[in-house]
Amino acid sequence: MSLLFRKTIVSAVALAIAAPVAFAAEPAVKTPESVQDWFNNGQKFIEDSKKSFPNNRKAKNVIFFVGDGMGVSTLTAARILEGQLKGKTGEENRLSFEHFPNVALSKTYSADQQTSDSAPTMTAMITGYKAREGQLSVNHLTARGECSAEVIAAHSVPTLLEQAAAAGKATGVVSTARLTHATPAATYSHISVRDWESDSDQNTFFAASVADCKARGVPVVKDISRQLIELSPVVRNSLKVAMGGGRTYFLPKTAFDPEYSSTKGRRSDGRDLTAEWVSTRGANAKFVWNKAGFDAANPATTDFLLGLFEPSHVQYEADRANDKAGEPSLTEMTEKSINMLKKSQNGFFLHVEGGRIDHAHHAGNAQRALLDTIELARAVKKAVEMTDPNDTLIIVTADHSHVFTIAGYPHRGNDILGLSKEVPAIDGTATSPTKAGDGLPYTTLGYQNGPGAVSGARADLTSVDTAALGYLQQAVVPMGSETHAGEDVAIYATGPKAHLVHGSMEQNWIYHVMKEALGF
Amino acid sequence: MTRAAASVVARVAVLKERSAGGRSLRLIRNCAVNTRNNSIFASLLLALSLSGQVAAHEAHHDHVASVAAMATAPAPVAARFELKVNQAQSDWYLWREADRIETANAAAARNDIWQRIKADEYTYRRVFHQDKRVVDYTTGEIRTRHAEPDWSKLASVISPQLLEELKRGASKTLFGQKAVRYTGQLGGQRIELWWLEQAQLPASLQMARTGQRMTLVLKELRGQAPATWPRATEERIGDYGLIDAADFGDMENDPFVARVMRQDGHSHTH
Repeated sequence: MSLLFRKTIVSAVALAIAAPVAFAAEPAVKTPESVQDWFNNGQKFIEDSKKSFPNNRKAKNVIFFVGDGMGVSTLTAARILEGQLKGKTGEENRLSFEHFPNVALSKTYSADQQTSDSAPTMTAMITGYKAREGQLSVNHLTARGECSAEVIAAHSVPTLLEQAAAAGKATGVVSTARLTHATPAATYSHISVRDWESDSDQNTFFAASVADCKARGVPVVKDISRQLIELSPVVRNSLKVAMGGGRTYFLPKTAFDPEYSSTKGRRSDGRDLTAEWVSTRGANAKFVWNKAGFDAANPATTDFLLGLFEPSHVQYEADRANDKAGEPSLTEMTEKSINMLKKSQNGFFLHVEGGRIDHAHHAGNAQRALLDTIELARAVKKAVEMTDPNDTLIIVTADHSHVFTIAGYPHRGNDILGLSKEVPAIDGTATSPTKAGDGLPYTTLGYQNGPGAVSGARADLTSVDTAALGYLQQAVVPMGSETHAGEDVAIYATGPKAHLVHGSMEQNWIYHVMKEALGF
Repeated sequence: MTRAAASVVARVAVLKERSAGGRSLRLIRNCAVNTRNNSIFASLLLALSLSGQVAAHEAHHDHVASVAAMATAPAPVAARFELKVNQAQSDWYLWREADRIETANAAAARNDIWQRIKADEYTYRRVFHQDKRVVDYTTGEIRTRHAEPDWSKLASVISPQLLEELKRGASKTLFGQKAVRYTGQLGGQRIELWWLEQAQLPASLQMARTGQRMTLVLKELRGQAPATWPRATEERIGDYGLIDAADFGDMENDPFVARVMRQDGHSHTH
């Protein structure tokens, strides 16, 4: 026997002895799928895709969902959290709208912003025109702080809601933010300053501009809440349901809020716009401000429903159960709205916003942002269940992203709200928090900037409950409020003309898809 | 009052806030601090703040019970303090009610108002008189920012944890009640405190290090404040612009909001 052969034999025996020890240990991270599952799932996707075909019908209805600030990282983290809340590893989970057949990327820059705020982004999506920062449904030639009602009228661009109204369709607006906040407001108002939500705000924001208009005897553009109540006759007749927050913007300063006894209205003109909603829209118009009133509003017998459930924004989904007067969830508001709008023989346009995803991110609180994202996904699921995919186009997208990241190399099934733990280098070894360059563990979720910023040495998170609802993820750049981010966001679509949502799209093209679907 | 003195008043408020609720609370209340002018005493106060931070951190997360001396709910009072930083002097006010605490920094033209709705439910209002703006923090926003205060600590200017770290000494009568002297060294600073046990407020607080001295002296203690004290009444602030703090992130263009956000952009430690 040659030396080489003997060495080979010895090596083989050694390997045979050693191998069971080295490779038989159970991996710390278990994979729920079988080997064949990966392949079979891929094949099923192909087979399902082969059966899909473009729906070229005209859409009777359009439901347009916007998750404010719901960037791709937010979707991924929310998807994992939703899955983990169901007891799964999470990564394989899909939010309801992630089953939609058509997806595209939306470029969110505005006419004058690389990274945009909600005003021009929603203007782009609801009018088809990119616009300037802070401006709602006016073209990008509009001056900042433009106060003249006449000039604003000249610069206004029609919204899809207004066009749906003109086409005889019923319309609705639902948000968890104030109804007068940028995203919902862009559907029905035209204004150069998004903060002019009540007449008092016109004495606070760009006040010099307003004062100048008044001094020159130039009629000042109406504030946003007043625009909602004083819609053109066609749109007024069309807008059957408007629900969200922002009650105090509709109440006079002399009136106390019905839910919070020490809170007063904001309007300086003394008008109670909630009462005017009822008085100007016939006998079957209702204003509701709590869950009991919401539940009592029967869609069959209510023709016009205004729901304002908080003085400002409604509660985060995580806090909603604790609300003093009770408030409906986004899903419940969506369901009731569809039930009201379905009464229209000509179809409907409904806009639904998950408005508080953005606010939670601004506060640096990932968990609340994710729970509101999951609630938006529930609302979408409800809308899908209540409508016919043959005649209803449903689009889900975001207006912009946030500087929110999913970092490190966490293992499959790692608590998305927890410390990042890698797959151990050696099978059979337990997982443990991965250490950063400073020797300390870090969370999977984090922000590039915001209130969670760390100065100097980071704290040791080993014993910190990072899954607590109030936990603020660490950040790099100290800022009182975390900021938006400029990367693309996703667009999901199903129903008539959904196939027009594809590839890389300018954000304003979303309007053109909806317009095409409705046949305008 | 000079801007420097105003800054230190704000820092004292910060000190209280740290002891009351940790860095998040400090973060949202720190906007009146003039960072340029308060640098003289930043280090002086920082050490004290840090000494309270560990306790504040624990209280923030575990809501540990206050020390026995502060276990009972303090009675409603109105107090006027004189704050002196080296030669700069200013007034600082406190109105303490069962479920409402308001402070006023006259020189900075700032009021801060906390209201307790029920256990662990608070609202917070920052009033900026020079800007004619009010910033409201709803219960949900306070929770989201992890800024819930410990009410008992918020009401007493000095945290009970700080008291525990100082040496208890002699007593005397001040403002018609027992005052106890506490002394100690924290972070290289000499601290002398006369503590009103019944009112649960400092009668005087002195912090000093080489070449620097800060004193906070209670000048008036009343059951009801005179009408001339600078409270943020509805009549006074009714026409001020009102901002929901949740909107800060979408109002970066507003000069007032931009300034507050810059000042709020402080760090935290976890």
